[in-house]
This record gives sequence, C-alpha cells and structure tokens, in this order.
Amino acid sequence: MQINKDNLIKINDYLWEIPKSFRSDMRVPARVYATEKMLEEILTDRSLNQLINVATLPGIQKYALAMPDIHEGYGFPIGGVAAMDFETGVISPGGIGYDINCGVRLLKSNLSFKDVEPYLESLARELYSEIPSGVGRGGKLRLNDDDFDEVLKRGAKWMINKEFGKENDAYFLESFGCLENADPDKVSSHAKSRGKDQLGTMGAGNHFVEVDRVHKIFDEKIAEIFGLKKDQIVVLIHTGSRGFGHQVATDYIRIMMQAMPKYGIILPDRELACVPFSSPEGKAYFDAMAAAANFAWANRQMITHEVRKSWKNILGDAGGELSVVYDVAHNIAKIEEYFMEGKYKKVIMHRKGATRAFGPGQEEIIKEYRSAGQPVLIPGSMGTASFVLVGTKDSMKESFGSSCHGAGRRMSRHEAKREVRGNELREEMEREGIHVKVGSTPGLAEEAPLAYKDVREVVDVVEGAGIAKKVAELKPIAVIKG
Amino acid sequence: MKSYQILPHVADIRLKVEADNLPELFMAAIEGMMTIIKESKAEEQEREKRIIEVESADATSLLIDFMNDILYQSHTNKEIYTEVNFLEFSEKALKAEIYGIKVDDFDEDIKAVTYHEVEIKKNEKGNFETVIVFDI
Repeated sequence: MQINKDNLIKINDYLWEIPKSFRSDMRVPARVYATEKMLEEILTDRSLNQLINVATLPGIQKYALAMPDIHEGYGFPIGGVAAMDFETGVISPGGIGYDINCGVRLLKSNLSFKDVEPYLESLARELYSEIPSGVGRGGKLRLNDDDFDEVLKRGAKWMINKEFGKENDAYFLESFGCLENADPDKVSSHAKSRGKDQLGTMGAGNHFVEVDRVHKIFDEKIAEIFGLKKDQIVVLIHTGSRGFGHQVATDYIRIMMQAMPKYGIILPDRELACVPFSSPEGKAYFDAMAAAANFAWANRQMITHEVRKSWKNILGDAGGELSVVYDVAHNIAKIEEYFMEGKYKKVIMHRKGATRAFGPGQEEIIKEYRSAGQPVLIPGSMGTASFVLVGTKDSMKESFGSSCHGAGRRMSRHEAKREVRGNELREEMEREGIHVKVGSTPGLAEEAPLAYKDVREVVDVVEGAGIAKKVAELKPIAVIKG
Repeated sequence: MKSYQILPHVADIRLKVEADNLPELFMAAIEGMMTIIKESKAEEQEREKRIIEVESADATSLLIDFMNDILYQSHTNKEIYTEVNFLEFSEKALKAEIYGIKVDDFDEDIKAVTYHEVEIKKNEKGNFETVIVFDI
C-alpha cells in the first residue's frame, strides 16, 4: 500500500505518526522525526513502508521510530529505532545492519587551526599512508587465533593493553569499548577468517578519517565539559566491524531464516528475519553481535593509534596529546530500560543508523559528562560539516534515548556519479581549503554532498524535537578515505 | 538464455536477473555480482578451482546463500570467479565448482547479499527472474 502525506498524523512540527490502523499487521504505530519539507522527500522512497514492516515485529514496544536521516535500506530502514520486549520480543540482525557497531570516534588536540595549518598537507598524506583504506587492503596487525578471540572478548581494552592506546582511552568510549557478553565460540570460522587481517583498516564507502576545525560552539558550558573550544583541531573517525561484522550478520540471518518456522514467525520481508531473544539462536546472535561490536571498537582503537602515530611523525612533540572525547555505535542492539506504562521495562534496543543519546543524569554516562548528557557524534556528508550534540531528558522519554546518526543518503551512488565528477569535486574541496587524500576518485563522487541530505537540517530536527541538543559544529580541513 | 542488469538503489545496488532455468539464473547472479565488485579482470591468468556446497529452505534462499558463500570466497581468497559449474543442483541444495582469478583489490565493497524482498518468480515470458539488493 502506497503511503501519502494524508496517512500521517502531525504530532508537532518535527514529528509525524502513521497510526496502527494503517495496516492490519502493525502492532504499534510508526513515528518519523522530520520537517514537513523533509517528510515530502522521505515519501518519495520506500523507507516508511520499511518502517511499517518494523512495526509488525513480535514484542515491539510503543512505536517504531525513524530519525530525520532515514532512507530506504533493506529490511529495516536506515535511521530506524525499535525497542523489543525483553521477555517476549525478538532480536533481528536486520535491525542492526551488516556493519555491526559501525560508529564514530572523536579525538581532541590541544592545538588550534593556526598551529596545524602549515602542516596540513603533510599530515593528510601521512594519515593516508598510515591507515589502510579501500576494498581488500589488509592491516598491519597479524594475530594468532587465541589473540584474535581475546580481541573479540575484550574489544578496545585488548588493544590498549597491547600498547595501541592510552590507559584511559576505553573510559571515554560507549560501553567502555567492550560488550561483556561477547562469545567468540558463537562466531563462525568464516567470519574470523574474513576479519583476521582487517583490524586497523578503514574500508571504503562512506567511511573516513577527517581532521576538523571546531567552527562554532552552540553551548559553551557543555562544550567546556567535553573539552571543545572554537578553532580547536579535532579528528573524527568513522568505520565499523569490516568484513568480520558483515559475515556475522550474514551467518545469523541465514540461521534465523531456517529457525523462524519453528517459532511460528511470519514476516512481510525475509530481510527482517528474527527469532525470540530468549531462544538459543537469539542468544547466540546477541553474543556473536557483541563480538563484532568489540571488533569494531578494537578497530577504531587501532586507527586511533595510527592517527596518533601520524600526528607525532608530522607535528613532533609540539603536537601534544590526542585524547578521546567519545566513541558512539550507530548499528547495534543493547539491553536498556525505559519507563513505560508506569514502570521501568527492560527492552532489546535495536538501532540501525541511529545513535544512543542518553540524557543528563543517566548512570551509564561517565561522571565527567553525567551532568551534561552523553556526547552524540554526527558525521556529515564529505566536505560539509559534522556535529557534536548531547542527549537530553526528553530523548529518554520520547525516542528510547536515541537520535540521528548522519546526513542520510538521498541519491543512489550511480546517480551521484552521473551528477558529479570525482576530480571536479576534489578540486572544489581543495579550493575550500580541504586537503583530500582518497584511494578511488569515482568513490569520491559517490560520496558527493549532493547525494546526501543537508546535515544541518537533520540536526535542526532532532534539536527542534528536543531529543538532542547542538553543542559544536566541526568543519573538515583534511579528508582521508578509501 | 540468461541476463543480468545492474539497477540503482538509494543507498545500495540492486541486480535484476532473468533466465529460462534455475541454474542459469544462479550463474547470471554470480556474473552480475562479480562485475559489481571488479569490472575489469585479466582473463588469461591461471584459475583456482574451489568447491561450494549449499543447502537452504527453498530456491530463493539457496540463491542468496550461494551468492553470500561466493562473496565470502572472493573476500578471503582475493579472487573473482569467472566460471560456475554445477555438479549437483536441486531447489534446496547445490554443489558447484567455481573458478577464480586473483585480484589485488576490488572496485566495490559488497558487505552482503541481502534477502530484502527477493523472490524467484516466473515472469510473463515464462522465465525465472528476481531482483537482489546488495548492502554496499
């Protein structure tokens, strides 16, 4: 059934609802955060149909949610958030995505733009040569089977112990860079062999390492708590669990497809494949997913090490320290508790292209940031702007402690390549003072800003809706990608 | 008769395949997928033979599972498969020899072959067809 604007109820200027009555198999309503203008664009693809499919999953609570950067995916839309009842609900690998714990890490320096400007070209070149990127290029780290399993169990912490990081790095990561339930025995040998040489590699697509300049501060007090100030140089890392996570997801979608008839689950799309969270298959996936999440945190840790090495090679002792501001996962499932129907209820939170955005006072937030709320890192499209937001009390009530994750695609890669030429885009970025180091020039065109929504509009929606608040805007001065 | 066509998708890539029998449909899908991950390949080099066995609940799942297994072989062996030869083929199981050539890198990083809305059906010409979505 085609959805049009008349099928949506406007809740406020930034929130719309498709009522449960729209389709007979919906268990809860579906809600989307967007302005009216953005909603019209969202209605041109099939992302809301996909969101409605999510609303049919067994055990889903309150509503299926879509963030303003929503776009059509496979199974769940990208930008989807769904909370499943802990006892009766399902877990769906398609609600997390193939790139398990794809996420973003922000590092801060003590230097300002004028300190780094003369060295930018050599820094960009050094970062490009130090951090392996592109499709099929392996990393420098070769681990034996036992050590690899330890990485899966301990995530970023293992890397830090092996001197690929500073002692307090893990403290500043979501979940301290390690999900404790990770079980390497629940991971196939295929996944292990696919991921073995990929620690410390960026990959391709929209993944990147960026050197940014803090362009604007929106909230001085919270920026100070996060250690950010105008003109400061920071580094943003965007990557995930690489082939390892892709294979874990592939394996378990296959397992669940075969197990579903046993649990009597019938779905509108095979890609939503799911099983009860309490089933053996559900538990095994959750533990394998945690291993992939840990792989991703270890990967971003190794890249942090490579960034620091490049930084020191170019800037020497004058470069000072690069310390971690925060690290967020935007493709993950977690057990969380929310206040519903008069009591706190445990749920399996699915976030696929959505960021946890816990508000002030939450126990899970480290004490340094607790009064402010959790930092929410939003990478924009290449060469535009990225944002640091903070979670709010309302996000806990309204959006299961979740917010957007990026700009959100609006144009296919094919169409982007037809509209823009990679080398022209590179020249344009260089004219704006951005140093670009990239493996594939056609790949650059695929990531052109016109292929994405305007990240400013996206963050204005989450701020307008009250589920996150703007703290700082970052502008890229060097972009490194595969 | 078999054919494939690469179609755009907002975030990913779709592949439409058509053939007058199931084995050919599967071959067209592999050919299409290999073209996406590496467009130009040096044909003259020596080829590596590998054996793949897959079992699934139905023909549609068998296709996706087979494609994912070949994708895994490509990623871990750094190979592109230029020929598929079925030793056994039924709607729920297959055994195939695949022949690969070594490559240094890939053009596109297919993360996975998804089950999204895939369904092998007969079209009005009496041929089998389906559309497959890749996560890029």
